[in-house]
Amino acid sequence: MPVPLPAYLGPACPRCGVALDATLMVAGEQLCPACSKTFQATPFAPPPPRGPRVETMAEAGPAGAVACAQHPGNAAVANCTRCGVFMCSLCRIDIDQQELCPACFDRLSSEGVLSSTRNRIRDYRGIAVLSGVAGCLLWILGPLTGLLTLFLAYQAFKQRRMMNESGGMAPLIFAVLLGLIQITGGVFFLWALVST
Amino acid sequence: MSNPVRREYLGADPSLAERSRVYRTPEALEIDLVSYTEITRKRVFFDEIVLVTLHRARTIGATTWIFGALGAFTLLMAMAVLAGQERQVGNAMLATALALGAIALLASMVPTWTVTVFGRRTRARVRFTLREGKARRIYGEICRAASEAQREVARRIAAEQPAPPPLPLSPDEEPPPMPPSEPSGPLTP
Repeated sequence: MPVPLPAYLGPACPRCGVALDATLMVAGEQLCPACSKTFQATPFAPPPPRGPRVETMAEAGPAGAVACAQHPGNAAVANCTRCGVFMCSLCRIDIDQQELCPACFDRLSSEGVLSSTRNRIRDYRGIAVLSGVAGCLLWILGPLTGLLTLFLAYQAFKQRRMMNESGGMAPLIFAVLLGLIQITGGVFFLWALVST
Repeated sequence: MSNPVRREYLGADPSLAERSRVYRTPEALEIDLVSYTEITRKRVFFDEIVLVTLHRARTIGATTWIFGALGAFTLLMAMAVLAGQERQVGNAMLATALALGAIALLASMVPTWTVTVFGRRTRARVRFTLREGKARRIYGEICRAASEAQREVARRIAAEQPAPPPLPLSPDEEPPPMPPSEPSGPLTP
């Protein structure tokens, strides 16, 4: 069972972790009152979060506004990209260049289709590096573990392209090299074993 | 499948307890927390950033621990071998242990530049070993992106505010009173 991480309590000293009031800071060099060490800081005052402004209906029908499918008193402002239902500002969810109604959002999000809502992903890059390092301890199985490492590295490359990532290639190249070394070493080891 | 936004790898925050990688997207910093074979993703949105900090420190990271542990293990082995008859092997192992210890010591002395971004709900941290220039560049870029995003949100909020009611006129600007209307009598043919 994973150990829960401590709750996030807001801005703190990056060295000792003591809570700081960012509203009292000015940009520049700061001195932590707890650990008496310095750090550079830039505070911001983000605008408060706000809800959508809902337009209410004055008149329904062809001459007036169209009602929201869920809230008859609210005027519709968009159609759902997936099912086409009329939605008011309360119902509209803008995500991944789509405008979705709550029902479609729930469905797509539970199916893992919306990339923005996925927050648990298999780490193929980490598994490829682990397989590469672990395979080095089992030279006799080199061709097998090497192929497995190359396959996992290929999956990691694919995942990287799917997520539109740039940078951070070093571990993948390391895994590919380990996979190739394992295959070469394993084949050489087996050849030496057979020839003797 | 929807088209994902571009993610730029900024750096990592490796430690013995957890590993995380930080990416930058147009609207947020994405933190990939690696646990075993799975990634848990969190985001610090630029329009929710409260504080960005940069500091230099010497950290005892994974490299120090790994080389230190290997050095200690080799030292124990060397002592065991030296207690026996194999002097040459023991000396070689002792030299290896000292080299591993020296690497661990060097790794613990290398300065690390850390950029920490505190948001409303979570935080992101990136460490740069020996790369002060890159750390400063990333620090500046994050500050600029946060500033732009928050200015944009403030502008949008201001545009959505309803226009204020007209101010009451001063006595000088008040229009003259209307002339009293004549009493209307019965119409005569």
